[in-house]
Amino acid sequence: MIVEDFLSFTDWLLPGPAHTGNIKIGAFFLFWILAFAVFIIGSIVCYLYAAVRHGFTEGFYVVARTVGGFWVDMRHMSVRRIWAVARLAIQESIRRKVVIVFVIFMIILLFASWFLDVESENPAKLYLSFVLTTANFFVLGLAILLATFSLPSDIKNRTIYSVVTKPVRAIELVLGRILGFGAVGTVLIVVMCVVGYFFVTRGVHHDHIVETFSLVDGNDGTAWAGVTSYDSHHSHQFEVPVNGVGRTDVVHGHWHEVRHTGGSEDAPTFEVGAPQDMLQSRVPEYGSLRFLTRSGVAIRGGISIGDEFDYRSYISGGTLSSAIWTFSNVTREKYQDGLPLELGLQVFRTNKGEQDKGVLGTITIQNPDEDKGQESAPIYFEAREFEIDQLRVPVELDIVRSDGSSHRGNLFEDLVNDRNEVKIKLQCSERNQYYGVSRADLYIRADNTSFGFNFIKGHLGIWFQMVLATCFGVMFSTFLNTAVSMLAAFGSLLMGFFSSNIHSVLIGQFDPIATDATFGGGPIEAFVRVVTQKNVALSVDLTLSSQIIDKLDKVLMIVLTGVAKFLLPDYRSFNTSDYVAYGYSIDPNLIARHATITLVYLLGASIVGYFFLKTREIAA
Amino acid sequence: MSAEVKVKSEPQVKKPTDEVVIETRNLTKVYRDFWGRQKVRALKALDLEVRRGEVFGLLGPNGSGKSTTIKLLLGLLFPTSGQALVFDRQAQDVRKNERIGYLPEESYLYKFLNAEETLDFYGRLFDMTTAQRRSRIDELINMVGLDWAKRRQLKEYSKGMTRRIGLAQALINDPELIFLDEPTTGLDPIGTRDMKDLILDLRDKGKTVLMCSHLLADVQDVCDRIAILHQGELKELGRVDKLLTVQDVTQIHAKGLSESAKDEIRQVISRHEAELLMMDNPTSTLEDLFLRIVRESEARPGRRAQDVDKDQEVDRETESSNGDR
Ligand SMILES: Nc1ncnc2c1ncn2[C@@H]1O[C@H](COP(=O)(O)OP(=O)(O)O)[C@@H](O)[C@H]1O
Ligand SMILES: [Mg+2]
Repeated sequence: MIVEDFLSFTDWLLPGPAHTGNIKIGAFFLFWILAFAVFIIGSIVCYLYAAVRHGFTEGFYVVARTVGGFWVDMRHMSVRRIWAVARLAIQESIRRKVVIVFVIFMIILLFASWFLDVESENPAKLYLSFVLTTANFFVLGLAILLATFSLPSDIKNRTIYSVVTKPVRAIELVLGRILGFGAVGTVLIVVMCVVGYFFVTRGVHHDHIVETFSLVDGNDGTAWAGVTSYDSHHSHQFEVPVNGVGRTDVVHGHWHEVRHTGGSEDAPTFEVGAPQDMLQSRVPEYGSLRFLTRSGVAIRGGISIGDEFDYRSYISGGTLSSAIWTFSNVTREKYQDGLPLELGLQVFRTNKGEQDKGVLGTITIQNPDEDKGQESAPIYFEAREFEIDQLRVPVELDIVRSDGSSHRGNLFEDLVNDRNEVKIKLQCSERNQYYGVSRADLYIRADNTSFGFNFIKGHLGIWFQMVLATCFGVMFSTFLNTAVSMLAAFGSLLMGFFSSNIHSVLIGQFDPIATDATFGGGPIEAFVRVVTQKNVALSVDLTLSSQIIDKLDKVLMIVLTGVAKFLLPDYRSFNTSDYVAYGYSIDPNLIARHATITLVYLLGASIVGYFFLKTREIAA
Repeated sequence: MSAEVKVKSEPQVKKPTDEVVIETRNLTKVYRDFWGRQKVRALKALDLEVRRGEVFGLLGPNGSGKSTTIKLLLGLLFPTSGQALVFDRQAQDVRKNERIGYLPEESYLYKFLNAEETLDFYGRLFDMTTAQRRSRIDELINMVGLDWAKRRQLKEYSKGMTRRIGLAQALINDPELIFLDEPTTGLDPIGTRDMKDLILDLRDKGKTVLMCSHLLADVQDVCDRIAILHQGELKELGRVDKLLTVQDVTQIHAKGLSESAKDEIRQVISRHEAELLMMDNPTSTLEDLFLRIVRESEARPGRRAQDVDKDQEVDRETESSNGDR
């Protein structure tokens, strides 16, 4: 699973040194800077508009009155009125038959159980991704439809006439609608969450019976070994002590308990339990990551193998090239039975090697204090593609000193320093093979939480997106008609989804080093090329018009970048379904961040909506 | 609005005061299209003053700018130039809405609500408590005579019923100033009469009413003062009784005159060198007849009206609309 973001809530909120070297100002100050910029630019635009309509001095008073009126209206806000508008929005949604969405959702789930029943390495992920993505899709679509239909149709049907001639404030009309449609969305999400939970748990559940068995010499005395039946596209191997309880191997991310219940020597009876660890919620403790080159020099990244996606760096096998994580908060109290490590490395083979075997590697635990110079003897493991390897670093282990002497030592006494930090070094042992490594690929599995709770947290991510989409939909509907505001809301959703992509594409246009990134130019140049059917690789002639186009393009792209990056919510970051699907607990820090961002957008959209609605000539 | 004859007790009717509640100065409205091009000059430099306690009528043919004036006063439209003041505040100020009521041209209400829910919604917009709303809603539904249909969704309502509930919503806050845009359109004669009675009632309670209509009779019956608009321009302004009094014509109503007495009167008129314009038996209006028949029918359901005035030349054989309610 791809995790790119490890900031805690306060790290995110407050200024501080960033890992990339440049100064990070933190979300709090960024917010105020942006809010100030939006306020200034908004005021200037509004003044210019007012000046054109009313003249220069009168225009100023008009703007000042409108802004002043905002504070007056805020003081007169009434909960009862907001609730009245919200209730109306709910009644309107019921009349618009939102229930249909739920019915369609159910029908899709019914049919989905056919095509989800396929051979898969990770069936739980398949089911969870499907359920969460479908719910997300439905809820966002519905939120936008409801939010953008409401006000414009009120204005078109003129029902708004008898509403705005009551003492209701524009801000109450906006907030009430967001609240009402938010409530409808919430109910829908809750129902989808419950239905989805049963769909997933039922979907991944399956039973086996024991197919073949024989007596073997087990670890402690004789035991039954055998193979289970082939169900749900897989079977397990197992070993059970006579009259005892054993377990199967892990296939498709789960295992079963097998119990020898009796029977005769020739016809023993077994009982195979329900699948275990299929749906889990692991709490990982991530470290920070550094690399050593082939010759052992410390650098930030590993070796590039020309992967188009530079999320992972590569370390080459059989050299000094290594990845070193530093973990903090490693205490004896937390890890009494040793460090439970999990590795989800990417294996990049330059030769086939032994196909059914993984690629061998070592892990070394090091004391971060250089002067101690102590490390553990290497622990060997086999990295397999697409699988998470589990490894437990024992408390009692062999320690090697820098002078080469070794002794039996203790993890917490010899390798963890006074600040509770420990280093873990990863190397690949096979020459000409590579490990692809990212920061999240090796972590300490600190804890497990309940899957159901994590499933709910995943829906919380959908909820935040729903609220954002509703806010934007209502905001657009204060000044656009139904069709256009729907387009705008869906557009902002798409732009928000791809805002990080848009940003990098646009930045690439200005990057002086990445010369090849300037292919095709900005939007206007691209349009000219489309119209004149000019190949993107051909450079345009350096005429005056082409230079003007170039300048305009740059301005346009700065604006677009700004809007995409700073004004639109990054919907994708709210999509936490991957965490649930891959079985990782969603970090409360992340949820706190999402809640904060949502609240800020709620306020921003309401205020912008207020001004649009307030200054709008309703009956024109 | 019950169809019973209202017994007009004449209490201490409040007289209009000098306090100005609505004022327009040079009020002008030009509708523009999306590109800002001028489309219609709907209102041209209107100067008006409406004082507390009067019933003021805007009169004019369709498209003369009556609704435009009302919408400007409500802040639904912004003036192109000039000013619209209500209670000395700019028309766009929300705070004036606490004290006004508005019945739009057509009752644009939420069709998916029933009568009670509708009034409850608007009551909440006035920040009224549950108890206040409950008693006010009962009172209003009773007043507009919709008790029998208060649980039905408005989409099932006839035009007249919608109009009544629209009126109830305009009065939910017991407003001091009421704007009525074409209050009688869509109403049957009984509804029209009730509406007129209600307007007079409101005036008697000291409320100010600004109504507009193209129905001359309505305006004449209830308005104290009128303004006549034509193509957005103010053509006439004044007290209805003054405007309509024909100074050089005298009207005499008498009962029981014999033919010879009538001849005598004719002679007196010619002796004074005046001109006799008309002398004949008066006819009642169809409205009066209709109302009498319906009330008669309500008093004695299922029978044809009995005591229609014998003097009337009414074809008794045609079906009159009785017994249908
Ligand atoms: N929203 C509008 N856009 C453009 N023209 C309008 C609009 N509303 C009214 N008009 C025009 O303004 C004039 C006055 O209309 P209105 O005030 O509604 O007349 P009425 O006296 O019948 O109420 C008419 O010519 C009408 O066509
Ligand atoms: Mg009109």
